[in-house]
Amino acid sequence: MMSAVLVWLRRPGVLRTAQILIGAVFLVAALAKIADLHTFAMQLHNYRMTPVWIENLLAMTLPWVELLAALSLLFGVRPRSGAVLVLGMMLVFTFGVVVAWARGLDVSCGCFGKALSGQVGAQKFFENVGLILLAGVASLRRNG
Amino acid sequence: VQKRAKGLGEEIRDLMWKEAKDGNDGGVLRGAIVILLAGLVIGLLFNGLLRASNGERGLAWIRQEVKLNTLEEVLADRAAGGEEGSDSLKAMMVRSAEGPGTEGGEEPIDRSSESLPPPPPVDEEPRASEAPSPDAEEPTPSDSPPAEESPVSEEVPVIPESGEPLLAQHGTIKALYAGNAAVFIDARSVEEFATGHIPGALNIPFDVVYEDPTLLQQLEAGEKPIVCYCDGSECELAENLAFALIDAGYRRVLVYEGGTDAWTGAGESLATGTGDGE
Repeated sequence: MMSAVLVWLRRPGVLRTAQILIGAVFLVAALAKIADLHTFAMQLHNYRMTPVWIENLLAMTLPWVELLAALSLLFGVRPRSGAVLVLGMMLVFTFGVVVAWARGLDVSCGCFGKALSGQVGAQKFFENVGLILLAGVASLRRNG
Repeated sequence: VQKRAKGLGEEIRDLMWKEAKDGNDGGVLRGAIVILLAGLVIGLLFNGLLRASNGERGLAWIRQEVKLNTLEEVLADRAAGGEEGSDSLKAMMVRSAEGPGTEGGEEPIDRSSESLPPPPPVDEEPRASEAPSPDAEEPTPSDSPPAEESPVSEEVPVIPESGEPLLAQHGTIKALYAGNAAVFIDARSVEEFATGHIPGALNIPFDVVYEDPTLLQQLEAGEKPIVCYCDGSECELAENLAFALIDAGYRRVLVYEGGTDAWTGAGESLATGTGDGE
């Protein structure tokens, strides 16, 4: 049963669809952050999970990693590399959301810069789980 | 079952990491590392360009931890500098509440005539603030400021103007509260505010202000200092809001160190609800 599902997920059309979807999400997220680095830096700061001195360095580089990964997925240039990178970032982001949620922090998730930025909590966690699954599918090797 | 689960795990791992037979999408890990490094380099270059073209848009390379001065330090420094005369520390820190209007243009302490920030227009931000009003609801003991119940007899600190927020301890905050000599603002969300806030405080969530800083222009604090607070050492909303107030032009902004934790720790009670009949 599970193998049948995996075979279906590894069909080129399914893989490509997953790659484009997760790539589009990351493209929007990256551009929103790049457009307002100060907001993203403050949102990172509010998580209080990293040393203060490294927050700006993360804020200025992470959106560009997201952007390049998104472009690789959208244009199909080493898409599995982009998908694996996106999967790794989503796992880290989700860990941050869970920790902030557990600590009772009422902070903006910072996922899409200032726009569309919900608060950390159950909804954000489940959104992230969905994106993790999508990135997982996008990183699968196709049939054959 | 264990054997099948193990086999499935290995299969998924192979599917994610092994190269396809045609080699078109090979080198998964190598490609990911290349993207990561390229992103890091471009990010640093882009920020460098931003800083070179417009210093305000780029980020500082290394973020400095902001450490606020305490009110007591500032007053001591000014006293040592002789700015306010030989006994300025005492004069600045403490003025009798019975005659606050005689020096420095302080308003008389009269909560009934207090110039409190009006709540934002209901259609714009219905829950952004709470303006305590004598007839807004049935007053409860916890919602009744001490100043209304008895003549003010405590000494009221006078807060100097400053270009940055100042940290203040409970003693100073309590004196300001008892003397009705400051506007208190809770910087947390409406939901957190409802669970427990300093009686009489306004609720202006920092997240709302961050979205629309012009909201602060509607604040009518008059000559009174503004005290921002949230709920303790883990909360930085008060500090963020205090900086937003400074940016908006207010010059006497305090951050209550410890917030509601310090307030309840000193045996004070909190009010619950949003105060607007909900």
